[in-house]
Amino acid sequence: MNLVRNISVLGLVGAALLAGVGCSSAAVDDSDDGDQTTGAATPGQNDIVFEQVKTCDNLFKDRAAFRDADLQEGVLRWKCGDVDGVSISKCEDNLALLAAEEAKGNVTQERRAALSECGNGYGQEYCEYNAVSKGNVVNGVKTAAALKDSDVVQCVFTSVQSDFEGKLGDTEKFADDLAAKIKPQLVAAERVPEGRVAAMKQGVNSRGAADTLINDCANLAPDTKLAKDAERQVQCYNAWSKTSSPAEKAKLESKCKGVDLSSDANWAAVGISPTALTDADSDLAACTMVLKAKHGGVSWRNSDPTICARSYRAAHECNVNFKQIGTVAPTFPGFSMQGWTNRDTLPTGCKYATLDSAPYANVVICTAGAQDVKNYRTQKKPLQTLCRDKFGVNVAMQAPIGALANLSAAKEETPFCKAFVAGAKHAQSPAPSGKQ
Amino acid sequence: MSSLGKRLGLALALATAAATAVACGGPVDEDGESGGEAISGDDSTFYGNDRVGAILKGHPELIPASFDQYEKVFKVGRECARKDSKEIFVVEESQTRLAGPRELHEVTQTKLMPRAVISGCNTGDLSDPTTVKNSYGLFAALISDPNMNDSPKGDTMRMWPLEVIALDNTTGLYNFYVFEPAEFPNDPEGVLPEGTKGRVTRVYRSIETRKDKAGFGQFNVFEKRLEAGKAVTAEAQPIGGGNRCFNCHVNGAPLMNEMQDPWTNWVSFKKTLPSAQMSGPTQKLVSEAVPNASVGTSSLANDLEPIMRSAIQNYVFGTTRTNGWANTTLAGGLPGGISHMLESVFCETELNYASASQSLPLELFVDKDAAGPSSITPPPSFGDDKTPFQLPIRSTRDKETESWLIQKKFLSAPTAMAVRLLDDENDIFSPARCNLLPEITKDLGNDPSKVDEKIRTVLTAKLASLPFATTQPKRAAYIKSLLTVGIRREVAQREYLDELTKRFEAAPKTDAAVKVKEKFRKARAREKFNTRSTPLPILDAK
Repeated sequence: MNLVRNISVLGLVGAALLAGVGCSSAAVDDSDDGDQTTGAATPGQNDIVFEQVKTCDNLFKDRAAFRDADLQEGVLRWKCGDVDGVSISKCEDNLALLAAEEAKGNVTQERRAALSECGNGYGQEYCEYNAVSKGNVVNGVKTAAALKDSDVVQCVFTSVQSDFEGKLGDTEKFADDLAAKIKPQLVAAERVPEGRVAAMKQGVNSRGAADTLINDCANLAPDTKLAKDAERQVQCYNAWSKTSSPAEKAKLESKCKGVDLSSDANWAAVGISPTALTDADSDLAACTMVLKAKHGGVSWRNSDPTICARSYRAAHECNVNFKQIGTVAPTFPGFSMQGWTNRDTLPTGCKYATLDSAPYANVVICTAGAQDVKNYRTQKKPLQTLCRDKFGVNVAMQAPIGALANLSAAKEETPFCKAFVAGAKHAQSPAPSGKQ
Repeated sequence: MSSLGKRLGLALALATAAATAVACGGPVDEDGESGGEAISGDDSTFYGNDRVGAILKGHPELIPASFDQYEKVFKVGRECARKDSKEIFVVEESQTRLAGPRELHEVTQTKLMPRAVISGCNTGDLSDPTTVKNSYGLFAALISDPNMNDSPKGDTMRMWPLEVIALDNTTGLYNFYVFEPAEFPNDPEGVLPEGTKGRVTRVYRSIETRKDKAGFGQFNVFEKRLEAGKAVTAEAQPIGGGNRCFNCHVNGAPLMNEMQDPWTNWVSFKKTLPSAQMSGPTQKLVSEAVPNASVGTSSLANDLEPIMRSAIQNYVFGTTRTNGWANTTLAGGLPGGISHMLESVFCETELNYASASQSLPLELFVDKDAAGPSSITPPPSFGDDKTPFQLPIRSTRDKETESWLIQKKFLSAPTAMAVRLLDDENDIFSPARCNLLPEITKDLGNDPSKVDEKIRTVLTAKLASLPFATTQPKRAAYIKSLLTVGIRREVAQREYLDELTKRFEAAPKTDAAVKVKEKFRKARAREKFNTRSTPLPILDAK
């Protein structure tokens, strides 16, 4: 199993599938302009600490209002909606073709192969989402073109991790079983949706990947050289951010960008007075460790830098280490989903799927507005993009990282550590009954 | 000063008050054109088929005099039964939006003056997207006034006159109302005495049918008034024949200038604590917007955004084949007809504003719709960068109008794209596009197929003289293919997008370059809109 959240590279798809793409012989209606071309599906990976501080600063500003509350509860939150620069994967074309072929024979193996290529598109944040109508996945422009105006489109978000087997002992069977249970909850579903609608399929969205990232980042804690470089990079960034002079900005970049500031000589050359790091600065420094994680962390995601920042800082500053998710909660299916603005309220139009008569926090069903669907179809925008734009940006992922913390040797000498330990204890206390 | 004099004084001060969502100006002229003259003994035709009428029709005793009373009567604001939000959305600017001596929308900086938009309280099943109508079916707006008695202590919000818009279930349009005390209070800057009776003014557009009046046969703005114990006043024009609410709501739609991240000046998850020192009712209202962990409530701008987007979309499209703004305008029930609707495609009738957040607004470099299927992503923005700040961009309402025209086949999607490509680096303020409008709308009827044909004909005639034909050949070729019916265009589109991407990548993205574009757009916005349309926010960062 690939536990590493590296950027997957879109491989070659089968020749037979390719032959089908773009060769439709359907008559051209002027209102149907054929396919839209799509560009790169994910942004490029950054490996420069100074640049990562910038990305992390934006990331933290986006949740400044919730940071303290989340810390006190021992959780981390980030947006399910993918960042700018992520778009629909080309694999959707191939999956659509397979769906059309399904009636003629078993295409399970081909679908597995096609799904493995989807890792370079939407669904980078430990949640995946699909536009569904009548039980069919209608993510792409082509599949959406076949819809009628009266067809209801729903966006189904899942955070069931791709390696979760449940009681069935098999990821695929679990996903299919869950999809069957969700079918009656979808509007006018004529078939059981594909398993990927109910449970994630990408290796990057696995429990193993989360465990690896948390521990890789925590394991960086003893490296004082890395810490010193990160802290000085943050100070350099602060100076860069404050100055409005392009010349001064350029000078600071030339002295810091790609330069190892753990070297006292390099640091002296920057020419700024060292200052004590604020709490926010320490978060920023910790966040850059995502670039140093042994098995790789992805710089531009909402999730990886968020998770890495907290696990590294807790380990580095508070002497905390982390247990595996499976050790603490063997039946944990994935990070729960909540509202971004108000954790108790999902975005308007959304509800939790129901499982065993209780809301299931790992599957959220959102009903798209009919006019929004029409607009996206008219503009030839993928409906998976609609799911991201209209709902994904307001759905929050919540990771109970405090529940994984081993506090046996924890130090509480700093305000952060006090808050982290208190939050972890809160997260480790028995949960009240509620969402599964 | 007589109560009439005071009311007129306040009216002048508020006459152009421009709050977000609703802006109708101040109290009504007692002695307007024919105000005060009773013509009817009942209110059966006074209200529209909306939430205001549903409560107040036949119950003049319930007419609120101020926001506090309005909350109780309509169960909104602090009286909203919703558990997670009272739907009180707050924006803080260092301006009052009161009238200025020279400008329609004075932007003189003051201390922070919170304003609020209060939507209609959605107590329905939030998992049903159609229940959002409960929110956008009723909006109220509050502004601040530095002359309020407790303003020095931070209680700046004026509880009356209260401006309200309510969605009419029959027409699909918003009805505009102003609530205020029936008797002008002795202390207009203080708290109203308990039990103060209210009166309501309805402001609307209608054809002028009186031959002796200016604008005969054209649309004028009228108002009529109602209070308990008196009959409805006769239809009258507002003071000076002004447009009142329609000064700002030129298209009659709700407004939210900063309708995207970072929702500049609004209380949002990026700006939760008001920096102003507040007290009294102002403080209480503002605290409803800010996340409150103990009771679990918040009303953040990022939650108002989808409400506003739904409101504007519903307003343009309507709910039947005959109602809503687009159908009504096309049928002659609102001013402008198809020519005005095409102004949304070729020019701009309203604006929205975008600021640097995690990225620069893409509109600085390319038209978003033109670049849609490309891999172009907005350049990142970091730190405390405020460049650009409040950059005027194409409005959501204009885009919805274009979508309506496409879906009703007045425009084909390829033709609409060809129009965008005429100036694919400027989504607004484009002479290349806007200057074509007179030629296109000349003798243009309402036959959908003829509209698209006329646009294609005019654009096709310009193909040979496109100024970028040699420097950007793929763009020219793609426009040509878009204007040619019945062909596939994948290759032309791909080649164009490659060309556009290269142009985007080569475009300077320094603060200096961005500021030049920002300055240009703001100058155009001031020229075109400061006396006419969407109220300008403060356009410069502090």
